[in-house]
Amino acid sequence: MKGTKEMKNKFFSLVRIGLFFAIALGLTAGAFAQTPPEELIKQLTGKAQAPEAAQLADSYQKALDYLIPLMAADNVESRYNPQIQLQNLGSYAARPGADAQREVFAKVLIQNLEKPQVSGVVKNWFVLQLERVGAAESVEPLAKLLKSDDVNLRDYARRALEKNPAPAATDALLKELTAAKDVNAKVGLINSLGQRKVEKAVAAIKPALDDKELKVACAAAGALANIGDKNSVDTLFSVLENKSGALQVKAGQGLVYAGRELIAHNERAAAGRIFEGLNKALDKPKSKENSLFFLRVAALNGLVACMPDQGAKLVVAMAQDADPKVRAAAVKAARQAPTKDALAALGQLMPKLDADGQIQVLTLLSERGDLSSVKYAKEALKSDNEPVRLAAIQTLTRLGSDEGAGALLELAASAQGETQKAALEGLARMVGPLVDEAVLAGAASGKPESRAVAIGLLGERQVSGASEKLAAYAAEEDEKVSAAALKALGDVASANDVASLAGLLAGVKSVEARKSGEAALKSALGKVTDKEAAAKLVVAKLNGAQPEGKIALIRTLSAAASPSAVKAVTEAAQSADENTREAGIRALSNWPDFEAGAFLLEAASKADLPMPQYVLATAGVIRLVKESKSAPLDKRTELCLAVLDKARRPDEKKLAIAALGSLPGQQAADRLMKLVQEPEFKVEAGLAAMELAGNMRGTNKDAAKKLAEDIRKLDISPDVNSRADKLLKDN
Amino acid sequence: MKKNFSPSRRNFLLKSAAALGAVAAFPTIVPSTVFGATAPSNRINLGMIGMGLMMGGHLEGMLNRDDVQVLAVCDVVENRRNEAKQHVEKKYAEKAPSGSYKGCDAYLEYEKICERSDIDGVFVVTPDHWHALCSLAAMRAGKHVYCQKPMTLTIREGRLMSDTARQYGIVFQVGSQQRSERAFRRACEIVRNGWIGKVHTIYTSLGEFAPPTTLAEQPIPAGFDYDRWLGPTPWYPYNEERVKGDYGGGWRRFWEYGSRKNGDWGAHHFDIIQWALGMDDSGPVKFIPKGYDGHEFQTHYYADGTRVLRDHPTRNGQMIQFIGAGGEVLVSRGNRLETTPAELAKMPLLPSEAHLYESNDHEGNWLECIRTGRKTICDAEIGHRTATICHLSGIAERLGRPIEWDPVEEKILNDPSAERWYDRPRRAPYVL
Repeated sequence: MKGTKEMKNKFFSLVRIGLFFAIALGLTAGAFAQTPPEELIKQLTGKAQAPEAAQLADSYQKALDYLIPLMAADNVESRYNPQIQLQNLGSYAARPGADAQREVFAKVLIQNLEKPQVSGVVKNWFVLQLERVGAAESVEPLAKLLKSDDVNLRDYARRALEKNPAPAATDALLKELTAAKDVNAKVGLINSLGQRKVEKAVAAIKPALDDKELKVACAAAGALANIGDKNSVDTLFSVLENKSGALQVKAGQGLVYAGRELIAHNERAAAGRIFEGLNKALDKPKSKENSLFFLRVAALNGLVACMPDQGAKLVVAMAQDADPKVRAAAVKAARQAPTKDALAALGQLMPKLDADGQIQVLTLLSERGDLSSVKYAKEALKSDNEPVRLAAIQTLTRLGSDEGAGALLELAASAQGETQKAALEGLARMVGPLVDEAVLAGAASGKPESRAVAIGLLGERQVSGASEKLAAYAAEEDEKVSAAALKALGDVASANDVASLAGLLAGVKSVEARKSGEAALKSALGKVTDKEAAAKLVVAKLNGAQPEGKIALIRTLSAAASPSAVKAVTEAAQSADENTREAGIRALSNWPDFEAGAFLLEAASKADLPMPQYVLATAGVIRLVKESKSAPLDKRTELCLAVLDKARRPDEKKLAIAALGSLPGQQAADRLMKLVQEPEFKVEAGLAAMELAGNMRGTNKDAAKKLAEDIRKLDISPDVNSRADKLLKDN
Repeated sequence: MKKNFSPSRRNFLLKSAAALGAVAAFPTIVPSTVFGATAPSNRINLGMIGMGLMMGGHLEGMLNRDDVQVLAVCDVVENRRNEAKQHVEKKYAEKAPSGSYKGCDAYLEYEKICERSDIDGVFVVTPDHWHALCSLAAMRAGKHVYCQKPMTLTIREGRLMSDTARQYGIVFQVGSQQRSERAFRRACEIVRNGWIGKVHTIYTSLGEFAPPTTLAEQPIPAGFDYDRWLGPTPWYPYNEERVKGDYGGGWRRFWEYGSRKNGDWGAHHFDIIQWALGMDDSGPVKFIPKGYDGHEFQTHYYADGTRVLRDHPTRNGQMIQFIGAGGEVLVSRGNRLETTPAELAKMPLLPSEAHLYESNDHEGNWLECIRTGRKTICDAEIGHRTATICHLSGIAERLGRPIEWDPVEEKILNDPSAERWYDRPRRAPYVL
């Protein structure tokens, strides 16, 4: 009894479980049935929980039922989004590791392809997806479409088969080729077979080489080149030997391609045999015809890459050909050579070549970067032909060696014009472990002219540790050497060189050297962080300096703005010696800090200051007023008004009036409103007032507007009125 | 963010620059007159293929030079090619002592230009889907090629074009002319020499086209060979918008004819980034589409972790922003260059530092290289590698998932379906 009861319990339990699953499945199916298509598409593109595997086919069908009418909607522009949704379904289905889902998707597409309600446009899109995701399951349906009445659909199907990884796709294409009559269809099928690179297609393609339509025959040659097996290559050689015109050229191009592919797969010996055969076949007078000539060039390039010895001999022979295009081809071919043989042969041959040939060889030598070529380039420096010399300089520059640097140094010192310029430019850029040594050696000894060139290069090349040597050269008696060294110091001088440069500048005699020394010292001062200490070093050299040297030193102090520098410069600005005074005022007028303004004003206020120095001092104050934006506005305004009040001439007054326009405050506005009453200055004051109003808009819009309105009412000039109108409009 | 930059730090950085391999570059010093180039017998004779919007500047540039002669023009639109022919002849007539000139032919088929033995080089300025077919035919006929960017429509086309240029000894220039702008070269030299330290992030702005669309069929205008315009791309009914040359849309909007903004501005900016990183013969290893797994920006990564983010806002609206461990470089057209630290922008290059190829005239560089045999500043291999980035970014976008790329073997990894996008099958009867 007990056993029976237990069995009953078990039975009921099973029934309950079964019912549970049945209800669950029913609910799921119900839920599936109610899933909106857009949601379904999300599920099928990975953007929502994926459907169960068992429901995939139904899900895809439901999605397609939704998309098909949309993809053929009357509103043509609306078709794009559903097309892309279809594409997204395919892309997601064909993701890595989901082959089962890909197959389901492809099969659903295929089922729908045959439905009459699916329009041609939609079918094209379906087949396009099969091109991207289809495999064995798609071959037969696609093969059927190759016979479609719709020429575009046929071609979509052919392209889809071309991409299909299943071997059966080749069979389908081959079968269609045997039946194809239409020229374009034949070309397409042959090309697809070639793209698939299947040897079994060769036998079917070969007869097409004799097709009466040239397009078909050429497509066959191209396809055989793509397949590239021995049979194809032999066939192409046969066409090359026995046919003419476009097909012969196509066969040659096919052989070049087949050889290139073998090189890419590192099968150089096999590739070499193709290029050797091609070269032999083309080594005939008729091969100078344009299309065949370039096949020969390609063959030569291939030979050089695969059979360097043989290639080099051919390069040398062709480099001496009477035809310039043959010579140029030979030089280019040497670029492909894996060894130096062809290069060396061309280098030796160079003197026998004409100018264009020499330049091409020199360009090649420079690109290959082999130092053994330096000797050929050096020899070419002696050419009477300037472009050849320029090319040789370029080659030596790019090769970069001490030998080359020595040759260029010599040339830079002795040559003139473009050659000298190019040599200097080359030397400044030249790379090589010993180039700097060569330049240092050139700077140390030799004729002053050549030393000056090398010294200049020490600066341009910023040779490490050169500043000490340059300082020594700067102190030499020879003016060329000294000037070159001081100029170079400007390139390399650092903060540590301030004292020595100041010393040199104090004693230098020539104008040129002084100019260079001044620039060098300014450059060094510009790199100093402790300006006060640096200024003291310069000031210390003022005593005992040559008169012109002292003036040069004073001029440099603006690059070391600091209390000691200001003191020295203001003292100079008050000097009884006119030249010293002018140097002081000039230095102050270029001063970077606002503090120089008061000193300049004081100098300008002296009635006995000569006019040129007065003009310089006033211009300096006005510059500081306008540029010292970090200084307090009231101080800047005060200084500007002082210039205005103390101006000797209307010219300086007008400068000060214009500067008031850059001082956005009421004080400037009030003064300008007074100035517009003065007939001599009303236009300048009106324009300055409008500039001021523009500058005030950001901080005090109302005051700016009032100023513009007040000026506009005065009707000063059409220009002032127009600016006022614009300001009022913009406000 | 501002870093101190001192000469000693520079010397330290030089060591890493040396590891990168310094290149002594030199601007052109061999004048074009070297071959007596302005003499009629020594001029470079040109054919111009694709006489649309973009060709205007190229044609005028060539017509204004004395060392070249335009012998032929080609376009699928009859009026356009005839007008171009008349324009060429009018310009040459103005220079001719007789005041008249008839010597420019107009062709529908680019093949006719390739067949001519008197033409030395061609400009290929068609929509992207024609670049490879025209360029390959020209190269196989021994013509030097100036091809507009992006160089290709597919990755395979690029490999084929680069190999063909090498095999036939062709001087090939890709129209990524930013390489011939001083500020871009300078920016690349700063990066290459390690002046901003190891670069880890790069922002670049490409912008967006309106989405592609489906278009209602319109009648094909008389004199327009639409089938030839479509060429190797899938058939679609004619609509003016589809074929229109328009920097803001037209055919550039459609995936069938290009890689949209990746192929448009990306071909310029990705190219500069490749140059700066010294990756001209290589490329990134991973491409992530915008929106994937929380990625706010389309991104690609190089093997060392350097990442490039598309349309991330750059500082001051600059086109490209390189961010390194020790500073930044921002660069745009119009010679806009900003650096942090600021002094890097003007600091001279030492001879021992990497000097990049210097060209200040992109078209002129191509012509000079035809004469000297030198490599151009943006040759086919460089153009192919840059275009590959454009295409892989677009493929990842359309697949909606990241792509891993092996830049040595040039293969898409671990994704057989994505591998199919390496090339596109071509509509018959158009073949490469």
